[in-house]
Amino acid sequence: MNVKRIKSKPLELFSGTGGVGKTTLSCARAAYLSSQGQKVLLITIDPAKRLKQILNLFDEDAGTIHQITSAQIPYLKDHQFDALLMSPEKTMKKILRSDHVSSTLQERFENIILKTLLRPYGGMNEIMSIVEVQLQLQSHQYDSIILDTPPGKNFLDFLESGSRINRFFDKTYIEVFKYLYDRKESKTSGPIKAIFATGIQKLLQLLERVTGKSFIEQFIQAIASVYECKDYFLRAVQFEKTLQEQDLTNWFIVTSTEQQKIQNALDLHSKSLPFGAQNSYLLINKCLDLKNWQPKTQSNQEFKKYLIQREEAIKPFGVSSFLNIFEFHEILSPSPVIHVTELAVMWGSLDSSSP
Amino acid sequence: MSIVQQLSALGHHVKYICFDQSENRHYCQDLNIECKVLGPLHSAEVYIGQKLHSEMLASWIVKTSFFKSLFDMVPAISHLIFLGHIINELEKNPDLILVFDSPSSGHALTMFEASFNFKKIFKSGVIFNDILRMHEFIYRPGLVKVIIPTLPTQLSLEESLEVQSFFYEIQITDVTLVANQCIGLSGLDISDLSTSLSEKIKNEENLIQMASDHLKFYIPLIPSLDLKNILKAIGPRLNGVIC
Repeated sequence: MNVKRIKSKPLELFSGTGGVGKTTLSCARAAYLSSQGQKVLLITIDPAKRLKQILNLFDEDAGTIHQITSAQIPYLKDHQFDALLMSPEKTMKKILRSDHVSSTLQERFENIILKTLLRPYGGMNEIMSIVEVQLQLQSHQYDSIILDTPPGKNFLDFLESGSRINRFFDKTYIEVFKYLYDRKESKTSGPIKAIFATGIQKLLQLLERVTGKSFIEQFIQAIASVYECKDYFLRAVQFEKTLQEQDLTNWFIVTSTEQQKIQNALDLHSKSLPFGAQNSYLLINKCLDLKNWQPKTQSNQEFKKYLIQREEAIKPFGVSSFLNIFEFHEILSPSPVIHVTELAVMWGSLDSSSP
Repeated sequence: MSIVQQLSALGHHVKYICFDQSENRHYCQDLNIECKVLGPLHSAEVYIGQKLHSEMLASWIVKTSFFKSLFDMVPAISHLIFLGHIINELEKNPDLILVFDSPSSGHALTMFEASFNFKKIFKSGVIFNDILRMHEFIYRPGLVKVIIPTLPTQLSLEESLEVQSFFYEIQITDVTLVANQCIGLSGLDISDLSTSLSEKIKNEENLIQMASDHLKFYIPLIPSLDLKNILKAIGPRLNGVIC
């Protein structure tokens, strides 16, 4: 197998199905790049937030950047990296606290619809994650931003967030909802906007039969408020362009010999291709070293044969679909911190291999 | 899928239900398992049509680009509608058992939390009444059983315990943790193992012992690449889980 040096990039995505080791591998990557003197931010978008166990963080730490030092990961020694557990609500508050947003608008975000949807499992995690990632990319504070993404379909939802934002912030809707909200607040508006509003109003009248009137009023306020922050959301669409740039993004698809989930990994990869995943690396995690095991009993011999077949089954699929394949061997410790440490060493050995 | 097979073998009418996971659909076809996959936008159209008593109006609403883009921005809507579909199926067929395979714990938590969240949002109207009905239905004792498979590793187990706590908080108490793919239960000769496998099994055993208050069932790693063989082997182990 060709082992090629992996050049670090401003954005590095780790994706895969559940339980394959995305979080430990992405954390190890952050630790390794930091040890090489890079300024790194590790963001976990996965609402399950497995990263908190590894980094000794808590749910209430979500939404705030924390510095990770050798106190959490001894491997780091004198180096450190930043870590962020994604919080949709705190990302929205960050936008609202900016100089360009009026205090009146900040109050409107106490709207029950927005407060509820911005909860961790409220359903807007992927949309707000793309906003947060773009805010961090635009800050130019980091050499590399590493994303630990949610498993499977949630990752695809995250990738699609840019297009969803674009569709939602169609300027026709913005004008209509501003008109509907301003009219309610007794401000004057032109006749042209009234015409555009007709279709949306009809839709809302029909929905009112199903949702109740108070919801529609809250809904109009919520949508109008979100539209007033549209610039922050629309800037997040720039993230899609970053993903497409080979020089800016490393894509890592993680699978595991344990789970026989190579088909899921390939499926995820093929669905990521329209977003720029053409040059992805396949990381096969939890590989066992069986060379020196010569079992004597039949059951153990059959088991060894199965383990080898399981690992071998993955590779043919990977060779044609990925830029390169890297194996990370199984870490034989129950401690997640030791997992990160040993995986960071492995990242280092990949980097120092000859091209 | 193995649970579906076991329940069928016990004479129950069972359906496997999932989000849009195409590979699972193919497996179900191969294994002759009745499967239902719901796409979110279609589910919304069916639901709105029922509430407005007009499929035509529902079709118009759902096809508007604004509705589609709203749906995209708030995926939790589709989770709620999905839940509604599950309840409709169960109300129409009281003897039916639906086995819902969630693609990740995040999906399952978003779906169950959606009903609470949208109850706060709607407050009145047809949808609110439906959500109340959903709550009365779902949180009926004995209706919902949650099975959380976990790998016998620390991070997986911690996630499973958090998911279990979430269900307890929303008053779903029939929650079972199952340690899956346990190498130590695969019938190996322990004295004839490699160092790495011995260490792995020792870690598994320590973890299982520490979590013995929570972990009640254990499924061995089945050394086969064939899904049919795997399901056949683990099926009998699940009888204690499903009864």
